[in-house]
Amino acid sequence: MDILIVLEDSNGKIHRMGLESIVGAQKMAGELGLSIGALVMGANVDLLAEEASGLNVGEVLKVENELLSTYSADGYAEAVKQVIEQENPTYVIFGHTYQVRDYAPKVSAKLMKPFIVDNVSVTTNGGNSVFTKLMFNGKLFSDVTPTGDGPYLISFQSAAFSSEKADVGSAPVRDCTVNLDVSMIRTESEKPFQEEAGGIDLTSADIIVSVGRGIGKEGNIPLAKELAQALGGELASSRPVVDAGWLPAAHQIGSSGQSVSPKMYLALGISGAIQHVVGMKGSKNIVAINKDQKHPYLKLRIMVWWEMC
Amino acid sequence: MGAKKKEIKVVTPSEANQSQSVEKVYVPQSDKQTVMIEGSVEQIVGKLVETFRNEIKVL
Repeated sequence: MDILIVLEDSNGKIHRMGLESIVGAQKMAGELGLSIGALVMGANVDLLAEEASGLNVGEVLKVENELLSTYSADGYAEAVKQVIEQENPTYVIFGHTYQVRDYAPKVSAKLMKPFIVDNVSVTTNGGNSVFTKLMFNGKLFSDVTPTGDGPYLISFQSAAFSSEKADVGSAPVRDCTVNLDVSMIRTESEKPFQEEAGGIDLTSADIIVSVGRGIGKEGNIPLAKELAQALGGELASSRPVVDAGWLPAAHQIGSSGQSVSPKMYLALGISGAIQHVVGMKGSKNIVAINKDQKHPYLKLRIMVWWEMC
Repeated sequence: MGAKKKEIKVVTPSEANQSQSVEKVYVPQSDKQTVMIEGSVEQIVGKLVETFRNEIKVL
Protein backbone atom coordinates (compact mmCIF):
# COMPACT_ATOMS: atom_id res chain seq x y z
CA MET A 1 0.00 0.00 0.00
CA ASP A 2 1.35 3.42 -0.98
CA ILE A 3 -1.23 5.74 0.53
CA LEU A 4 -2.98 5.12 3.83
CA ILE A 5 -5.93 7.42 4.39
CA VAL A 6 -7.17 7.62 7.97
CA LEU A 7 -10.93 8.12 8.16
CA GLU A 8 -12.74 9.57 11.14
CA ASP A 9 -16.10 8.52 12.55
CA SER A 10 -18.64 11.32 12.59
CA ASN A 11 -21.84 10.00 14.20
CA GLY A 12 -21.56 6.65 12.44
CA LYS A 13 -20.54 8.07 9.08
CA ILE A 14 -17.23 8.96 7.49
CA HIS A 15 -16.33 12.53 8.45
CA ARG A 16 -16.85 14.93 5.53
CA MET A 17 -13.21 16.01 5.59
CA GLY A 18 -12.16 12.37 5.32
CA LEU A 19 -14.25 12.03 2.16
CA GLU A 20 -12.70 15.22 0.81
CA SER A 21 -9.23 13.91 1.54
CA ILE A 22 -10.02 10.69 -0.31
CA VAL A 23 -10.44 12.83 -3.42
CA GLY A 24 -6.91 14.16 -2.85
CA ALA A 25 -5.59 10.65 -2.30
CA GLN A 26 -7.34 9.41 -5.44
CA LYS A 27 -5.78 12.28 -7.39
CA MET A 28 -2.31 11.34 -6.12
CA ALA A 29 -2.95 7.67 -6.83
CA GLY A 30 -4.13 8.41 -10.37
CA GLU A 31 -1.20 10.66 -11.24
CA LEU A 32 1.54 8.56 -9.66
CA GLY A 33 0.08 5.06 -10.02
CA LEU A 34 -0.17 4.53 -6.26
CA SER A 35 -2.40 2.17 -4.29
CA ILE A 36 -4.73 3.38 -1.51
CA GLY A 37 -5.80 1.77 1.73
CA ALA A 38 -8.48 3.38 3.93
CA LEU A 39 -8.27 2.93 7.70
CA VAL A 40 -11.33 2.95 9.94
CA MET A 41 -11.00 2.39 13.67
CA GLY A 42 -13.13 2.25 16.79
CA ALA A 43 -14.94 -0.30 18.94
CA ASN A 44 -17.49 -1.25 16.30
CA VAL A 45 -16.85 0.16 12.84
CA ASP A 46 -18.71 -2.24 10.56
CA LEU A 47 -20.90 0.53 9.15
CA LEU A 48 -17.93 2.82 8.64
CA ALA A 49 -15.99 0.02 6.91
CA GLU A 50 -18.98 -0.70 4.70
CA GLU A 51 -19.26 2.96 3.69
CA ALA A 52 -15.52 3.12 2.98
CA SER A 53 -15.67 -0.05 0.91
CA GLY A 54 -18.00 1.75 -1.48
CA LEU A 55 -15.19 4.10 -2.45
CA ASN A 56 -12.51 3.63 -5.06
CA VAL A 57 -9.74 2.47 -2.75
CA GLY A 58 -7.64 -0.69 -2.94
CA GLU A 59 -8.79 -2.01 0.42
CA VAL A 60 -10.31 -0.96 3.71
CA LEU A 61 -8.41 -1.72 6.91
CA LYS A 62 -10.68 -2.23 9.90
CA VAL A 63 -9.27 -1.85 13.41
CA GLU A 64 -11.63 -2.72 16.24
CA ASN A 65 -10.56 -2.36 19.85
CA GLU A 66 -12.58 -1.53 22.96
CA LEU A 67 -9.98 1.06 23.95
CA LEU A 68 -10.90 2.98 20.79
CA SER A 69 -14.61 3.12 21.70
CA THR A 70 -14.22 6.76 22.68
CA TYR A 71 -11.64 9.18 21.37
CA SER A 72 -8.33 9.62 23.14
CA ALA A 73 -5.22 11.15 21.63
CA ASP A 74 -3.05 8.43 23.22
CA GLY A 75 -5.17 5.55 21.93
CA TYR A 76 -5.72 6.89 18.42
CA ALA A 77 -2.08 7.95 17.99
CA GLU A 78 -0.82 4.54 19.09
CA ALA A 79 -3.30 2.67 16.90
CA VAL A 80 -2.43 4.71 13.80
CA LYS A 81 1.28 4.36 14.53
CA GLN A 82 0.99 0.58 14.76
CA VAL A 83 -0.98 0.35 11.50
CA ILE A 84 1.64 2.52 9.76
CA GLU A 85 4.40 0.24 11.03
CA GLN A 86 2.51 -2.83 9.82
CA GLU A 87 1.56 -1.48 6.39
CA ASN A 88 4.54 0.81 5.71
CA PRO A 89 2.78 3.30 3.40
CA THR A 90 4.67 6.15 1.73
CA TYR A 91 1.93 8.70 2.48
CA VAL A 92 -0.50 8.84 5.39
CA ILE A 93 -3.39 11.19 4.63
CA PHE A 94 -5.76 12.81 7.14
CA GLY A 95 -8.54 15.39 6.89
CA HIS A 96 -7.41 18.31 9.08
CA THR A 97 -10.16 17.79 11.68
CA TYR A 98 -10.01 18.86 15.31
CA GLN A 99 -9.23 15.26 16.30
CA VAL A 100 -6.40 15.03 13.79
CA ARG A 101 -4.94 18.31 15.03
CA ASP A 102 -4.94 16.70 18.47
CA TYR A 103 -3.43 13.27 17.86
CA ALA A 104 -1.60 13.30 14.49
CA PRO A 105 1.37 15.33 15.86
CA LYS A 106 1.80 12.51 18.40
CA VAL A 107 2.00 10.00 15.53
CA SER A 108 4.56 12.23 13.83
CA ALA A 109 6.64 12.44 17.00
CA LYS A 110 6.38 8.71 17.72
CA LEU A 111 7.61 7.86 14.22
CA MET A 112 9.95 10.88 13.90
CA LYS A 113 8.42 11.54 10.48
CA PRO A 114 7.27 14.88 9.04
CA PHE A 115 3.67 16.05 9.33
CA ILE A 116 2.84 18.52 6.56
CA VAL A 117 -0.38 20.06 7.76
CA ASP A 118 -3.42 21.87 6.45
CA ASN A 119 -2.73 21.55 2.72
CA VAL A 120 -5.20 22.95 0.20
CA SER A 121 -4.12 21.02 -2.89
CA VAL A 122 -1.67 18.49 -4.27
CA THR A 123 0.07 18.38 -7.63
CA THR A 124 2.69 16.17 -9.19
CA ASN A 125 6.17 17.20 -10.22
CA GLY A 126 8.83 14.79 -11.43
CA GLY A 127 7.15 11.77 -9.90
CA ASN A 128 6.72 13.43 -6.51
CA SER A 129 3.69 14.87 -4.83
CA VAL A 130 3.87 18.61 -4.15
CA PHE A 131 1.58 19.90 -1.42
CA THR A 132 0.29 23.47 -1.35
CA LYS A 133 -0.45 25.18 1.93
CA LEU A 134 -1.51 28.65 2.98
CA MET A 135 0.85 31.01 4.72
CA PHE A 136 0.12 34.21 6.61
CA ASN A 137 -3.59 33.46 6.79
CA GLY A 138 -3.90 32.85 3.07
CA LYS A 139 -2.03 35.88 1.78
CA LEU A 140 0.64 33.58 0.33
CA PHE A 141 0.73 29.98 -0.86
CA SER A 142 3.74 27.72 -0.52
CA ASP A 143 4.53 24.49 -2.35
CA VAL A 144 6.15 21.89 -0.14
CA THR A 145 7.60 18.46 -0.86
CA PRO A 146 8.45 15.94 1.84
CA THR A 147 12.07 14.81 1.85
CA GLY A 148 13.89 11.82 3.25
CA ASP A 149 12.32 8.43 3.77
CA GLY A 150 8.57 8.07 4.28
CA PRO A 151 6.08 7.62 5.61
CA TYR A 152 5.04 11.25 5.20
CA LEU A 153 2.06 12.42 7.24
CA ILE A 154 -0.16 14.83 5.31
CA SER A 155 -3.40 16.60 6.25
CA PHE A 156 -5.79 18.41 3.91
CA GLN A 157 -7.72 21.49 4.94
CA SER A 158 -11.51 21.53 5.03
CA ALA A 159 -12.96 22.00 1.51
CA ALA A 160 -9.58 21.43 -0.16
CA PHE A 161 -11.50 18.99 -2.37
CA SER A 162 -15.17 18.39 -3.07
CA SER A 163 -16.38 15.19 -1.41
CA GLU A 164 -18.90 14.80 -4.25
CA LYS A 165 -15.99 14.04 -6.57
CA ALA A 166 -14.86 10.94 -4.65
CA ASP A 167 -14.69 7.99 -7.05
CA VAL A 168 -16.85 5.09 -6.01
CA GLY A 169 -15.77 1.49 -6.11
CA SER A 170 -15.98 -1.83 -4.31
CA ALA A 171 -13.08 -2.44 -1.96
CA PRO A 172 -12.49 -5.50 0.21
CA VAL A 173 -12.36 -5.05 4.00
CA ARG A 174 -9.43 -6.51 5.93
CA ASP A 175 -9.26 -6.81 9.71
CA CYS A 176 -6.18 -5.30 11.24
CA THR A 177 -5.01 -5.80 14.84
CA VAL A 178 -3.35 -3.30 17.13
CA ASN A 179 -2.07 -3.96 20.63
CA LEU A 180 -3.36 -1.39 23.07
CA ASP A 181 -3.17 -1.46 26.83
CA VAL A 182 -5.31 0.55 29.21
CA SER A 183 -2.12 2.00 30.74
CA MET A 184 -1.39 3.70 27.41
CA ILE A 185 -4.56 5.79 27.60
CA ARG A 186 -3.94 8.73 29.90
CA THR A 187 -7.04 10.77 29.12
CA GLU A 188 -10.74 10.03 28.86
CA SER A 189 -13.10 11.89 26.57
CA GLU A 190 -16.53 12.95 27.72
CA LYS A 191 -19.45 12.72 25.34
CA PRO A 192 -19.31 15.19 22.43
CA PHE A 193 -21.57 18.20 22.86
CA GLN A 194 -22.75 21.10 20.76
CA GLU A 195 -21.67 24.51 21.95
CA GLU A 196 -25.14 25.92 22.29
CA ALA A 197 -28.46 24.15 22.66
CA GLY A 198 -30.29 24.09 19.34
CA GLY A 199 -27.17 25.51 17.79
CA ILE A 200 -26.70 25.87 14.08
CA ASP A 201 -24.47 23.59 12.06
CA LEU A 202 -23.03 25.83 9.41
CA THR A 203 -20.59 23.18 8.20
CA SER A 204 -23.38 21.06 6.75
CA ALA A 205 -25.46 23.92 5.28
CA ASP A 206 -25.93 23.96 1.49
CA ILE A 207 -26.80 27.64 1.42
CA ILE A 208 -25.34 30.29 3.71
CA VAL A 209 -26.38 33.93 3.84
CA SER A 210 -23.60 35.76 5.61
CA VAL A 211 -23.66 39.32 6.85
CA GLY A 212 -20.91 41.81 7.51
CA ARG A 213 -20.77 45.28 8.99
CA GLY A 214 -21.72 46.60 5.55
CA ILE A 215 -25.36 45.79 6.22
CA GLY A 216 -25.32 48.98 8.24
CA LYS A 217 -27.13 48.27 11.47
CA GLU A 218 -28.29 45.50 13.78
CA GLY A 219 -31.88 46.20 12.73
CA ASN A 220 -31.11 44.74 9.29
CA ILE A 221 -30.18 41.31 10.69
CA PRO A 222 -33.83 40.06 10.63
CA LEU A 223 -33.97 40.89 6.90
CA ALA A 224 -30.93 38.70 6.25
CA LYS A 225 -32.39 35.97 8.46
CA GLU A 226 -35.63 36.10 6.49
CA LEU A 227 -33.67 35.79 3.25
CA ALA A 228 -31.72 32.80 4.62
CA GLN A 229 -34.97 31.10 5.62
CA ALA A 230 -36.57 31.83 2.24
CA LEU A 231 -33.57 30.22 0.51
CA GLY A 232 -33.59 27.25 2.92
CA GLY A 233 -30.19 28.23 4.25
CA GLU A 234 -28.44 29.31 7.43
CA LEU A 235 -27.45 32.75 8.65
CA ALA A 236 -23.76 33.40 9.28
CA SER A 237 -21.57 36.43 9.73
CA SER A 238 -18.11 37.90 9.69
CA ARG A 239 -16.28 38.64 12.93
CA PRO A 240 -17.13 42.37 13.27
CA VAL A 241 -20.83 41.50 13.40
CA VAL A 242 -20.19 39.11 16.29
CA ASP A 243 -17.85 41.58 17.98
CA ALA A 244 -20.59 44.21 17.76
CA GLY A 245 -22.97 41.79 19.50
CA TRP A 246 -25.37 41.65 16.55
CA LEU A 247 -25.15 37.83 16.35
CA PRO A 248 -23.82 35.07 18.67
CA ALA A 249 -20.33 33.68 18.07
CA ALA A 250 -21.77 30.39 16.72
CA HIS A 251 -22.58 32.26 13.50
CA GLN A 252 -19.02 33.42 12.85
CA ILE A 253 -17.17 32.26 9.74
CA GLY A 254 -13.43 32.63 9.41
CA SER A 255 -10.12 31.83 11.00
CA SER A 256 -11.54 32.36 14.49
CA GLY A 257 -14.93 30.86 13.58
CA GLN A 258 -16.18 27.98 11.47
CA SER A 259 -14.91 26.80 8.07
CA VAL A 260 -17.68 26.07 5.60
CA SER A 261 -18.09 24.80 2.04
CA PRO A 262 -21.74 25.34 1.05
CA LYS A 263 -23.18 25.11 -2.45
CA MET A 264 -23.80 28.87 -2.34
CA TYR A 265 -22.29 31.50 -0.04
CA LEU A 266 -24.16 34.79 -0.29
CA ALA A 267 -22.05 37.51 1.32
CA LEU A 268 -23.93 40.69 2.22
CA GLY A 269 -21.80 43.70 3.02
CA ILE A 270 -18.65 41.71 3.76
CA SER A 271 -15.42 43.33 2.66
CA GLY A 272 -13.73 39.94 2.61
CA ALA A 273 -10.83 40.28 5.01
CA ILE A 274 -8.51 37.34 4.58
CA GLN A 275 -9.40 36.08 8.07
CA HIS A 276 -12.97 35.71 6.82
CA VAL A 277 -12.10 34.32 3.40
CA VAL A 278 -10.10 31.41 4.81
CA GLY A 279 -13.31 30.17 6.43
CA MET A 280 -15.48 30.19 3.29
CA LYS A 281 -13.14 29.84 0.33
CA GLY A 282 -14.29 26.25 -0.17
CA SER A 283 -17.78 27.44 -1.16
CA LYS A 284 -18.87 26.13 -4.57
CA ASN A 285 -20.48 29.44 -5.58
CA ILE A 286 -19.75 32.79 -3.97
CA VAL A 287 -22.10 35.68 -4.54
CA ALA A 288 -21.04 38.98 -3.00
CA ILE A 289 -23.22 42.03 -2.64
CA ASN A 290 -21.08 45.00 -1.78
CA LYS A 291 -20.47 48.61 -2.61
CA ASP A 292 -16.77 47.99 -3.15
CA GLN A 293 -15.92 46.32 -6.45
CA LYS A 294 -12.46 45.36 -5.19
CA HIS A 295 -12.81 41.95 -3.60
CA PRO A 296 -10.41 39.36 -2.27
CA TYR A 297 -12.44 36.25 -3.14
CA LEU A 298 -10.39 33.98 -5.39
CA LYS A 299 -13.37 32.21 -6.90
CA LEU A 300 -16.09 34.88 -6.82
CA ARG A 301 -18.87 33.91 -9.20
CA ILE A 302 -21.12 36.95 -9.02
CA MET A 303 -20.42 40.43 -7.74
CA VAL A 304 -23.38 42.69 -7.18
CA TRP A 305 -22.22 46.25 -6.93
CA TRP A 306 -24.77 48.04 -4.90
CA GLU A 307 -24.82 50.92 -2.47
CA MET A 308 -26.65 49.19 0.34
CA CYS A 309 -28.59 50.51 3.25
CA MET B 1 22.49 27.63 38.29
CA GLY B 2 21.85 24.39 36.42
CA ALA B 3 20.48 26.33 33.50
CA LYS B 4 23.53 28.58 33.48
CA LYS B 5 25.83 25.61 33.00
CA LYS B 6 23.59 23.78 30.54
CA GLU B 7 25.30 23.09 27.26
CA ILE B 8 23.82 24.94 24.30
CA LYS B 9 24.05 22.66 21.32
CA VAL B 10 24.52 24.48 18.02
CA VAL B 11 23.32 22.75 14.86
CA THR B 12 23.55 23.94 11.28
CA PRO B 13 20.70 23.38 8.84
CA SER B 14 22.63 20.69 6.99
CA GLU B 15 23.00 18.71 10.20
CA ALA B 16 19.38 19.01 11.17
CA ASN B 17 16.94 16.30 10.15
CA GLN B 18 15.24 18.24 7.38
CA SER B 19 11.97 16.54 6.57
CA GLN B 20 10.40 18.86 4.02
CA SER B 21 11.49 21.28 1.35
CA VAL B 22 9.70 24.52 0.42
CA GLU B 23 9.75 24.62 -3.38
CA LYS B 24 8.26 28.09 -3.80
CA VAL B 25 6.24 30.79 -2.10
CA TYR B 26 3.81 32.84 -4.18
CA VAL B 27 0.75 35.08 -4.22
CA PRO B 28 -2.42 33.09 -5.07
CA GLN B 29 -4.07 34.07 -8.34
CA SER B 30 -7.78 34.73 -8.84
CA ASP B 31 -9.49 32.84 -11.65
CA LYS B 32 -11.06 36.17 -12.72
CA GLN B 33 -14.37 34.69 -13.87
CA THR B 34 -16.50 37.00 -11.80
CA VAL B 35 -19.75 38.24 -13.31
CA MET B 36 -20.56 41.81 -12.32
CA ILE B 37 -24.21 42.74 -11.92
CA GLU B 38 -25.24 46.37 -11.83
CA GLY B 39 -28.51 48.18 -12.40
CA SER B 40 -31.74 48.93 -10.69
CA VAL B 41 -32.97 46.85 -7.78
CA GLU B 42 -35.49 45.10 -10.07
CA GLN B 43 -32.81 44.29 -12.67
CA ILE B 44 -30.38 42.96 -10.06
CA VAL B 45 -33.00 40.85 -8.29
CA GLY B 46 -34.23 39.44 -11.62
CA LYS B 47 -30.72 38.47 -12.65
CA LEU B 48 -29.91 36.95 -9.25
CA VAL B 49 -33.11 34.87 -9.16
CA GLU B 50 -32.41 33.65 -12.69
CA THR B 51 -28.86 32.67 -11.72
CA PHE B 52 -29.92 31.01 -8.47
CA ARG B 53 -32.58 29.03 -10.33
CA ASN B 54 -30.85 28.09 -13.58
CA GLU B 55 -27.11 28.12 -12.91
CA ILE B 56 -26.41 27.53 -9.23
CA LYS B 57 -29.71 25.62 -8.91
CA VAL B 58 -30.49 26.54 -5.33
CA LEU B 59 -34.09 27.59 -5.99
